[in-house]
Amino acid sequence: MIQLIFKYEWKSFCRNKLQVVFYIFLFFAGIYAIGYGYREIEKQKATIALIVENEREQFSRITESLKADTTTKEGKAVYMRSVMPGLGRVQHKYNTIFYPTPFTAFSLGQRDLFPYYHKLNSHSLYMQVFKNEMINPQKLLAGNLDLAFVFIYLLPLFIIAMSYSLVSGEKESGAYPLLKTGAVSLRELFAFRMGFRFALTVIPVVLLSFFAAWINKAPFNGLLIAWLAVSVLYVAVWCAMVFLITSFNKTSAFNAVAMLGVWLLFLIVAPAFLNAVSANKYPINQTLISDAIRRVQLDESERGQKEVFEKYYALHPEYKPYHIESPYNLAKLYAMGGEMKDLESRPMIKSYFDQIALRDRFVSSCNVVSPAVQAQQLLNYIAGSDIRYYLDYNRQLAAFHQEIYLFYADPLYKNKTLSENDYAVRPRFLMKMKVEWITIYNGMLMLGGWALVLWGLAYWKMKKI
Amino acid sequence: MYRLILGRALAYFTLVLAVTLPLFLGTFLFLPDFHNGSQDAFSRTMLLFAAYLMYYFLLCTVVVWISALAGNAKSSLLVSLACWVCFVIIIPKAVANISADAYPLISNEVFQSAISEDIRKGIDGHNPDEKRREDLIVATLKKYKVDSLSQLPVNIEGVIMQTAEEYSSKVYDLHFEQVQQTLRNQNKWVSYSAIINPYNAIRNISMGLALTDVNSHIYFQRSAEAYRREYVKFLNDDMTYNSKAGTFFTYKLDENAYAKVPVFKYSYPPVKSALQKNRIELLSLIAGVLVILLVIRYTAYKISVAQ
Repeated sequence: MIQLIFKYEWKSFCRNKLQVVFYIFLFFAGIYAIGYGYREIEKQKATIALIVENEREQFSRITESLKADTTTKEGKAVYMRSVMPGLGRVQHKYNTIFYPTPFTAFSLGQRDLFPYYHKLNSHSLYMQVFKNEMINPQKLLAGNLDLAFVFIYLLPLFIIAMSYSLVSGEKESGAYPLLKTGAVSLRELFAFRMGFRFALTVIPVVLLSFFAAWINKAPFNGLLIAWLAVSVLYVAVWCAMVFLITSFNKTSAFNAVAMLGVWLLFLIVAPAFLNAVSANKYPINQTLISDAIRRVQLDESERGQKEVFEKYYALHPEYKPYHIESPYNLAKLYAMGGEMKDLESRPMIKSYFDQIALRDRFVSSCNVVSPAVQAQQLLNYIAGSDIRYYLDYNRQLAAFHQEIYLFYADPLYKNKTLSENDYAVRPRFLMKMKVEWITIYNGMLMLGGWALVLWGLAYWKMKKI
Repeated sequence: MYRLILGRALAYFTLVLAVTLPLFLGTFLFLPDFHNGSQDAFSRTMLLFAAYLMYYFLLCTVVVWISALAGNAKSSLLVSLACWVCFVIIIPKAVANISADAYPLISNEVFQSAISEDIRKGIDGHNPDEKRREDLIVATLKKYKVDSLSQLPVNIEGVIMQTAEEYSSKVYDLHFEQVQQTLRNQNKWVSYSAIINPYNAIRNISMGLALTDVNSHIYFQRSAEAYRREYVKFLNDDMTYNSKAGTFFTYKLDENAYAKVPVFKYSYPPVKSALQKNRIELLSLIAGVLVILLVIRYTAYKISVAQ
């Protein structure tokens, strides 16, 4: 029976040119989106390769300059720049990179909004952490046309276009009484017909996902399966939603308006509303952090220096015995000033990032009201472009900065120089990215719950038609 | 038929007006700028209102025209909604993405390296900072007709700082101009898309008139940068004319000097600048209204014959 229904549904689908065009358009949009995501990530990879190469060159120059001929003026200057921690602390740059995963091109998420790399020196962290790549605000406003966009925004429209007259169309064409005389109950018939639409929509999901995986050399692993599962569950939610609206047995025009109303509610109104509420509930005042991100300026007079040293040695008495009057004290002054400024700014910066995290948590806890927001967040999470990874990267970056700071500050305060051995064990950043599967499972469970409840309601309601 | 379509469109337009008119009236009543008698805010709101009237009229007319062409209410609704999705969601995103692909922005790494390189080696690559510094010292000695720095009536450190500041500003201007040109090229595509997409037209006009678009941001940025340069010049000149060489780390401004520091005064770009920058969008909107009226006039006959 199911084969027969699917066969005739396929014929009916092929006869409707508008639907076929939309279906083909979905594939083209998907292929464009895959190409777009791939190009965006390739651009980021090219920038990453450039900064990695620049860092490698920098340290090979440093190693070379440790062997420089110090009898010449130039040789001595170069040598001093490498051995003096007071100079190296501002001149040497260390990369921290948040590498894209093989799945990031699928869903670019927050990847364009937040910086994916930093070039840090040992000076004040907060002066350096808020820098980002240049980007056209018009593009940020429009958002990315990636594969997740095609799945989240366009697939539901296709389902709506195919299904809004599932029952009403039969009534309006006069075929409804005929169908009632068939061997299969109307409820089963319409459920199978909806099943056909579900199967038809899942085809581009699977094909485009595999194509994206192939283009981006993504491995066939748990994440790809999770991506497919979330996308398919999302399609199921929409099919169930459409089936439920259809079960109310209204006219095609009513169904179309109701379905598009739900689409608008889930995809435009709910995200905008959640963002507005979270922004209002957890406000972020950029001007508060503007002081913390400025260059450290200190009073270099004798009295000014004395004040900073006294304050710093009260915090770190272990360095006090090494204090000597020296022309390099300005470097110490700024290193200490930078650390103290960071210490002072830390609660403010922490509250800034806490507010971002709280906003995200709020949206995540409320996204149960919109399967679209839920699915988008899940796809971002699977792709490694979710805000939670960015916040985690930021925490790791701060810890790494502390390592760089000590790498230069410790010998500086102890009046020591840096050697080749020190550079051999210099700090190196490697981001640890942890995927919490429970987040994915919970999200999938929620989407599955939506689909089951909606389908159950629709199936129950269909009994009455 | 032409009159019927137009009459229907006007009826819907009146309904839309019933919703939007109170909103614009509310703007007049509650915006503090109006109470201050700001002519600029008044003309911006009036223009915004006029642009939205055109936009809504265009939408009402197109929707009624589609319903006249479509065989039934179902098709009419579907086509209208498909147009909405295309024009409001898909086209704006696609155009912004394609234009960013066509005119890619350089990375910060490349941008910063190019600036550092130009400052270090000179814009032409043959004028290194050391040489520029030496040339400046020679030129200053010559200007004041003295043989040594100690004989100069000005502090050479101040002169060097100001000249270096001016040179680096030149380099920054050069590179920022390139970036802004890329942004302009990208945004040009968005402007041209307004020819087929009234949503992009009204969005850009809205942002331009409300001073929330990229052009307004760049205008503010330039004003702030001009002020910064003026302020730095004030400080450097003070050092040049009021201190002696070798006092770089010890010279202090007179306590009354800050009273002479110029105050940052910002004035919004004129309204005509927003109109000029969004002229394609404005013309597209006007042309859209005219074209749809012509199209209805031309197709009305066919519609009445077909039905």
